[in-house]
Amino acid sequence: MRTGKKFIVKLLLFTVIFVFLVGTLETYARGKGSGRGSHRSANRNISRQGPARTGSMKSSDFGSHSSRSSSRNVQRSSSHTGSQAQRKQKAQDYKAANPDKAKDFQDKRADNAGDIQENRQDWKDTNREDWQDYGDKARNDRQEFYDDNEYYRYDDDWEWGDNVEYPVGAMAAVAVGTALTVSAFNSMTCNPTTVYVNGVAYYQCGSTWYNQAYQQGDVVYVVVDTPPGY
Amino acid sequence: MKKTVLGMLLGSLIVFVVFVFPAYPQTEEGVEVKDAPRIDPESMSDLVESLEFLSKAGSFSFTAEQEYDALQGNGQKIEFGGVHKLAVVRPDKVRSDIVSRDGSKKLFVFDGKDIYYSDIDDNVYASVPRPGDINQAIDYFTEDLQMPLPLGQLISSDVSEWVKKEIYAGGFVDQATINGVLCDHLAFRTENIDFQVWIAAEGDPLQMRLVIDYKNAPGEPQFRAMLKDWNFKPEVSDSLFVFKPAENMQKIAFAPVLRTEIKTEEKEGGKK
Repeated sequence: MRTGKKFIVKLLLFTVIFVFLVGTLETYARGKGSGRGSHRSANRNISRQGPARTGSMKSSDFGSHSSRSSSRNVQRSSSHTGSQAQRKQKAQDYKAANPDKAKDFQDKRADNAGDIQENRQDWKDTNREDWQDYGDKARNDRQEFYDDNEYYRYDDDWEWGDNVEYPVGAMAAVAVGTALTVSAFNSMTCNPTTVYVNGVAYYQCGSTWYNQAYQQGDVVYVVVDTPPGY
Repeated sequence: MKKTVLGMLLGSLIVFVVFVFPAYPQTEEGVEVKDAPRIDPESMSDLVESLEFLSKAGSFSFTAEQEYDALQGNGQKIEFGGVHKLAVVRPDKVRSDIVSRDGSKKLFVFDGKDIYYSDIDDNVYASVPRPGDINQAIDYFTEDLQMPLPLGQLISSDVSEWVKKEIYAGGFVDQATINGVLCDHLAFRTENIDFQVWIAAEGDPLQMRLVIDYKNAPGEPQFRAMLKDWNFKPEVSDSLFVFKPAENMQKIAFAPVLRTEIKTEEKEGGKK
């Protein structure tokens, strides 16, 4: 009789421990595993923009393109135009976010121009073939990079080469009215200070001032004139 | 005899080519021939009836499970979406609550005098005066302010005139059941979009599903919405259309308005 009770107690104890262990293991697996069940922050490089976001039928709401008749060429052309616009926006973002870097690149470019002038003849004579090889290699490397990293280049038309292009284009001061995405603003090299003028928040980075505003459904930072009193 | 047979054959051929052949709608590799009959009058009538039913409704609410494609730089389309609740009291009150799949919340309110738009999670809102009716407010919000308001056109009372003007082809596809409701599946084409709509075949001509193809945009992205919970006697109090910013919510501008203000200030500064 006593043996029977002992057996039941042992069985209960075993069940409780077993259930506890299984539960612990599952919790651990959820946290450690593929990320399911755990909080993961959104990939901000993935664009949420586009005409379909408007859910509108009127072309004036989403910006129509020319007729579909020669669809291939039209699509390629409009896609290219879109890329150019995106690149231009990125260039503006970059120079607004990194005014110091833009200046550095400008100086470096001037130095490089001097060097290039001196060595131009050498270039012509000896380096043409090397540059050709370099170009081919770079192109192949880039293609391989894309093949290997398809999921890491969602963001519009972002390419390695573009990192170099932005500072070169960043010569002039940032135009008033230029908009920066929140991620571009947050990645600025300076630490923006906030002041309130007539109840409106102004964000200062170097000599550039920004207001927050809605653009196509998203919050952006727009370059504005210096607020009164500053 | 031979001459008679040949003459009859030739005559038949001429009659066929001149009178019979052109009467048939023709396609060449999917391209529609311009002269073919293009709009099925009954389908067009069904669509207009459905839209006018909404524009004549004094007040109503519905929910849309909506999604759209966003084209990425690598050519892949990524889907985003959310649940959209719309409440309308004609002639001048609209409230739109959108909860995206990532949990973020956006609110649009038009109270007949001002338009409010808010990102609850970012704790910001913008407002702009716009006295008038729903049509004027939606047109101003989507066209002048360039802000998205999915399905905004559906609640505009002038949308039926727009479809009559813009649709150049379309007709009946089939009958299909959407959310348990038997619907007429119709498809239409305009210069810039193609769209499909599923309208309840019995009872009120309610739209149960809408798909829009942005065929001229790169990647030809789609907007899709399942419409449900239609209610034409909604319990809507005036407070539903009153926007009260949360404590510490920051007021910001609409970028087009801000740029206009900057230009005006620059002009006035230049005159001095």
